[in-house]
Amino acid sequence: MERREVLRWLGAATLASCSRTRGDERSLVFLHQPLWGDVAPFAALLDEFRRTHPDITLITRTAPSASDALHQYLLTTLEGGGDLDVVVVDTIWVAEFARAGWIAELPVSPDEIRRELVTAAAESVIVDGRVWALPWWIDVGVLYTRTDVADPPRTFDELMIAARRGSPGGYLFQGRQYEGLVCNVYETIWGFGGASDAHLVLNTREARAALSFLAALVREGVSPRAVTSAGEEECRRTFQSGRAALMRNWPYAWAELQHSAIAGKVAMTALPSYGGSPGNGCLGGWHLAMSARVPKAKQPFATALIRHLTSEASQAVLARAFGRAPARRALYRRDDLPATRLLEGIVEHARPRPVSPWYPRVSDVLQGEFSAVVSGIRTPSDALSRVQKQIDRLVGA
Amino acid sequence: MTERRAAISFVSPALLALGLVAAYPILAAIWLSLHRDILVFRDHRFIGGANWSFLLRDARFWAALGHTTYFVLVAVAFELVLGLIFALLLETKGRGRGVLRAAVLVPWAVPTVVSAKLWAWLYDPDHGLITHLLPGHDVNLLGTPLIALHAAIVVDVWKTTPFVALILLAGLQSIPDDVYRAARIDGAPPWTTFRRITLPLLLPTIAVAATFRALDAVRVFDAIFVLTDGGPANTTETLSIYAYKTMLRLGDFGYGATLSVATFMVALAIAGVGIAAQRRAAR
Repeated sequence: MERREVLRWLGAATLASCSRTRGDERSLVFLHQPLWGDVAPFAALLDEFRRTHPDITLITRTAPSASDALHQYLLTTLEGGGDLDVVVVDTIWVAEFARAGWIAELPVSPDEIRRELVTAAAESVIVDGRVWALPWWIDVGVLYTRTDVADPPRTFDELMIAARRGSPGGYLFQGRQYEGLVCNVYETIWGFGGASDAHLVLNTREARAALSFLAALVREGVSPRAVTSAGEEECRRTFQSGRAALMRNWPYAWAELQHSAIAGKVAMTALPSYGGSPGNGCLGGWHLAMSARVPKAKQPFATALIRHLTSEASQAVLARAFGRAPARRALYRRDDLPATRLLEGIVEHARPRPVSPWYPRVSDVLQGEFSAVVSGIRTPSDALSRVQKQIDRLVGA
Repeated sequence: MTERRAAISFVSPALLALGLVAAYPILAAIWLSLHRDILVFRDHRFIGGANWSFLLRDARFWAALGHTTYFVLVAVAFELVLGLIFALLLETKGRGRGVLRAAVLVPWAVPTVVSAKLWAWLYDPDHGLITHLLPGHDVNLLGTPLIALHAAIVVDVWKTTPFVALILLAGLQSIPDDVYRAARIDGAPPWTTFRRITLPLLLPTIAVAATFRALDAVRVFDAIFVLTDGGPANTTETLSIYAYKTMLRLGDFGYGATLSVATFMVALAIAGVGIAAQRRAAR
């Protein structure tokens, strides 16, 4: 109790210094990350909300872009009773925040979002049959191929061959010890036919096969040694400068590659799998949620803002102006969004990481052990039995 | 007696301040370490020594303690040797000595996060200068277990050697000229002078520098946080990084506090050894 009071006090003190609107029933505080590029189209979306809701004052606050930093900020601010009303949350935090009681259930039916949203995006906001956030934009793991060097591979074997024979060769993936590595590993596990469920069973045959495959890529030089410390940007820079044939990354790289030396020589396709069916990309992206502390009278306004920003029209603006992949199915069939259209067929195969309140803690374990496998100091079965032991202790304790 | 009372009343504000900013947080952390306190699960209860008995069985804690100890020993040893060489060079009289002394301090003045980012670029496997200078060019210094920790040690040595050099320089200047003059008259060669006069008289200063540096190094956080964030495979995870991740990323305040208190106890032990060594050296 004592600590909670200290946190509350600290939170209040911090917020008092940057806002005089605390406790104001007539203002709505919206926390979001800065968008890259010209912000005018986004400002216009916010202005539209202001125009249609003259009874409430919309205040925006800028959040840190780094996911870890924002998680830490929300941990202290939401727990400490900060005055945030609508917040942006990473896909993997929904179950955790719902369980902690930091975000409120939204008056939206699961059936409605299952109908209108990309499946994985819908599943990532539904916990215990209730909707806790609405997807703002999504991310999905995709494969980039230099078409002048190889055809986009559909199986893991084809990928190995293309990366070995090509000139330049090499397959880039994110192998640094961080959340991105976990995404890469999950995608490979799914590619071998494995599943990811909320029960967090990791020590499976498919997981062993996936880790052996990734370790072999590095050990045999199919992937450059640099991948063991590479994140998305390191991979993109290397690929963009024309020094690799293949890369796993998020869709954001597509726009960047169009202004580079290899523009016109790149294809963006679904990830490969063991059997050759389109692989399942890991779902990423950001959702909008309502703080559990929003008073009843203000809840309709908070919900309206979330609804407005996640509407089809708003997601089209975000896709066009900022290259963010929409969560709404309808937008993938529109001719005026060519970059989005490329992802049609890929997003429907996307899968969320385990939707579990334990996930952030589990991921911390996974990052260390997966990194050990990729950098070659632990065998897959050794690492996986260590993973399972630690997870069982966490969840069982 | 009144004098004594006056003294106490004069000292009490300082004691009060110390109690508030030092003793209270430490005691609060120890108290917290006796609880299971996971924010997300609204789980806050007293569990006695359970965190501590888990700490003793926690392989990740022992690994972090090992990395930290290794980091401290190797980094401080290099810093002392290099710092002493710099101090001796800086002490020699000559033109531009003032400029040189200021120049040596630059690495220390740069904020660690900035210099660590700079070094991360030097180590970059694709574009890094250091990678290009190494034979083969296909090394990933920050992505290879065993090597990554040494890369972090290099950054720490680069950054803090000036600090050691400066302290040792002050020590060198406090050695009276008479003893050197006497040695010259007796015909002692430079090496003997260094071994028999400079080093013994400098020992108390070396002990101070070593203690300061060891206390700083045992809490190393920023450089590693920027360079590797504890990876690859947790091989650069030090006690502070582990405590930080447990507390602030995972929201496990109970076990995080346990790790913090353990780090504090290691620092306390180093301070104890340092003070004892200093007393012996000064005798």
